Amino acid sequence: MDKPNIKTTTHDMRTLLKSASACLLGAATCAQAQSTDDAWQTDVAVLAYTEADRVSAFEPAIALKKTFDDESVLGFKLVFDALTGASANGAVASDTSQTFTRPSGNGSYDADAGETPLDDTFRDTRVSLSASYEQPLAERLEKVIWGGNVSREYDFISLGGSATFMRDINRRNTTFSAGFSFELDSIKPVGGTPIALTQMQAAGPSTRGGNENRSMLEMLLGVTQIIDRNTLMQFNYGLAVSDGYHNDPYKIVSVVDDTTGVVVAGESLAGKYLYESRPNTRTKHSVFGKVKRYVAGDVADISYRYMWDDWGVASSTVDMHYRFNISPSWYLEPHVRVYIQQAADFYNTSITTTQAADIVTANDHLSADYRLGDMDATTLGLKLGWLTPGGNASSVRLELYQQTGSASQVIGSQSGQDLVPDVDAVIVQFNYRF
Amino acid sequence: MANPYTVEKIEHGFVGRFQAMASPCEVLMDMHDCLLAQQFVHACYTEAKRIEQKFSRYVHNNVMYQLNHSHDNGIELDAESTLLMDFAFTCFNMSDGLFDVSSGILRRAWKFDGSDRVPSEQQINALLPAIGLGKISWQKPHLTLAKNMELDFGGIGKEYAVDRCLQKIMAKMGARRIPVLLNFGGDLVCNGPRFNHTPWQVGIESVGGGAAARVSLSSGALATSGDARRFLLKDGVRYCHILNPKTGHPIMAAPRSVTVAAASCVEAGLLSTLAMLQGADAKAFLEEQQVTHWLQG
Repeated sequence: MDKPNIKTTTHDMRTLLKSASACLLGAATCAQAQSTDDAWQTDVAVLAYTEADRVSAFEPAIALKKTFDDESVLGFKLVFDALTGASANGAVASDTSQTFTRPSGNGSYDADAGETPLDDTFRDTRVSLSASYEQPLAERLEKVIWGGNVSREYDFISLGGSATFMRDINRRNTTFSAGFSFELDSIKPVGGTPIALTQMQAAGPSTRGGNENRSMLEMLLGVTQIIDRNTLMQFNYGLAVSDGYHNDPYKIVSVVDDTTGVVVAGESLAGKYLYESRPNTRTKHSVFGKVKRYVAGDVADISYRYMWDDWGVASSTVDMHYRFNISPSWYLEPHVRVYIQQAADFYNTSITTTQAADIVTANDHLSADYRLGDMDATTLGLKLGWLTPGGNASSVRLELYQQTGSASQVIGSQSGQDLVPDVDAVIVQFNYRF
Repeated sequence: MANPYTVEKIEHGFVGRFQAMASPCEVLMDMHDCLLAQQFVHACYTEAKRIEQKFSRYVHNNVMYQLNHSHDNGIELDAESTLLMDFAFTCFNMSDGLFDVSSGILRRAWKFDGSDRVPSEQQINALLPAIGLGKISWQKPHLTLAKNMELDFGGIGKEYAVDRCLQKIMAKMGARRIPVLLNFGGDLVCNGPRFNHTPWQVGIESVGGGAAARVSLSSGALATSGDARRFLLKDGVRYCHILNPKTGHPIMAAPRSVTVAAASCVEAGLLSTLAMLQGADAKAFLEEQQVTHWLQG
């Protein structure tokens, strides 16, 4: 009997057979098999954020993820963020027009009478790169997730690292997690660091400080519990301690007359504005609870977060999503978020001459940054998600954000001004995974 | 007809069972949603039966029947048959004519029923002129088959059905990831490890006294070729049912069974068949291909 031989070379044959099988089973399948087995999973997203008359942000991002045979997962994410527009400098609107010095010290900008002062030179680009590695441990019931990130803006560099340990117990119905992270920031304000509680000076050289630093250490403890086949609950406690420079170097506080409420004259500017002064340390606590439930083919979740710190800031956030699974490949997800914040002890929308004298003498803390003030914010959103014919997940999200704040005090003629204007923003995001 | 398929609860999920392509078929699903299990098994059963009806040479008036009765008249194949035909040609060329979907007519001479009826040289020689894919005109999607020739996708049909059925189930799954294993009479495919991240445990049948093996499968497919029950025995010589289409004679000294692991069942099936066609060199062939394999006999 003859001995047949296959003439095609080994390597050619394997490759040929592989591609022939893939073709036979349809090109879509061979792509799909790749993505679950050895290919990188890629997520791309583009986010556009626009505040009425203020800041606009454009943020493209790309994330890559690969799962290896040993169940370890390596991921990278690159985010590019371009911000343009005008940003509130902290000073309040006044009956007269006001002039401010640009952060660089070169040149100035004005705010008309009755107008909220906005620094129109606000422009920044941020690039942030992060990497994570998920490492399964003992019998796949434990894992550690390592993370690292670096982020750079024009006046800011941040470096961080984290480690999270997770353990499944109770037949995987309960997951405990403990995480630690650190962050080191270096701040190099445009034109030097303003000296806290000193006056903003007219354009030209002025005494400024050098670079500043800040470090932060954070701990997060969590437990996730499967209640029944359709319900999942999650609790977290977080503690963050930071040390160093916490000021926003571009934020100032208006000093007004004790009775009239009109901005008083400054040393070299028409008005007197003090650079803000925040404490050098901050200790933040947060508790978080979430329930997720499958309801007749849909998914609903609601979460609550309470955050408080030693600056006197306290906030509550309620967040709700409901995912309607319209078909196996389409879903619609409305989103509601309500945020209520109590101001920091040293928050002042503006201060009187007497208060200013006391604060400066005592070298006390002071800020008029609306982000540290009393505020309520509501977000209403809708997300539409679908699978492309090739099986790739896509979604588009539209959110409307409305924030209202209230002034810490209203003096004399200030009653005729909108001291803390509302912030309205629109967010549009598009995601695609392949 | 009784229930065409059954779905039963098992320890870690569900198992669906039905009969197709002369084999017992199983669908193992690691999940707890019995309605979804029902849907998966239904999709799988429907697809397996569709492929069986379309390509079986025991069914009249299907694609294969029309093709094998086209008598020198060119016919136009549908998209799916075109893909299969292309695949058959690729395998034919790649194996230098050893894997040939036109070799089925050798069955007229060889009947592997465990008896000693070895056909005569004349009987075999009479068939050889009607064998050889190279004699067919294939201008995709137009095929012209000579009057006395016959095609049979039996050599890849079951593996093809396994892969296609998994695709159907995956389509029903959408974005979810549910571990599923299909086993059509020893040709298997899975879509990843089980929910507890452990591999599927699969038994390979013991053939002709060889030890039954237990194999772990956490991705891809397994296919087995062998002569478990199909052989002839005459004067102490065992004639295996794998035939060399060029000589019309059985491949001698081939292993009793070859199991190969690959990304898809089609690929695994082809590799195991090609290994059998190597006869005594099967082991060397598989090692050269660097594929995971198990040999018996």
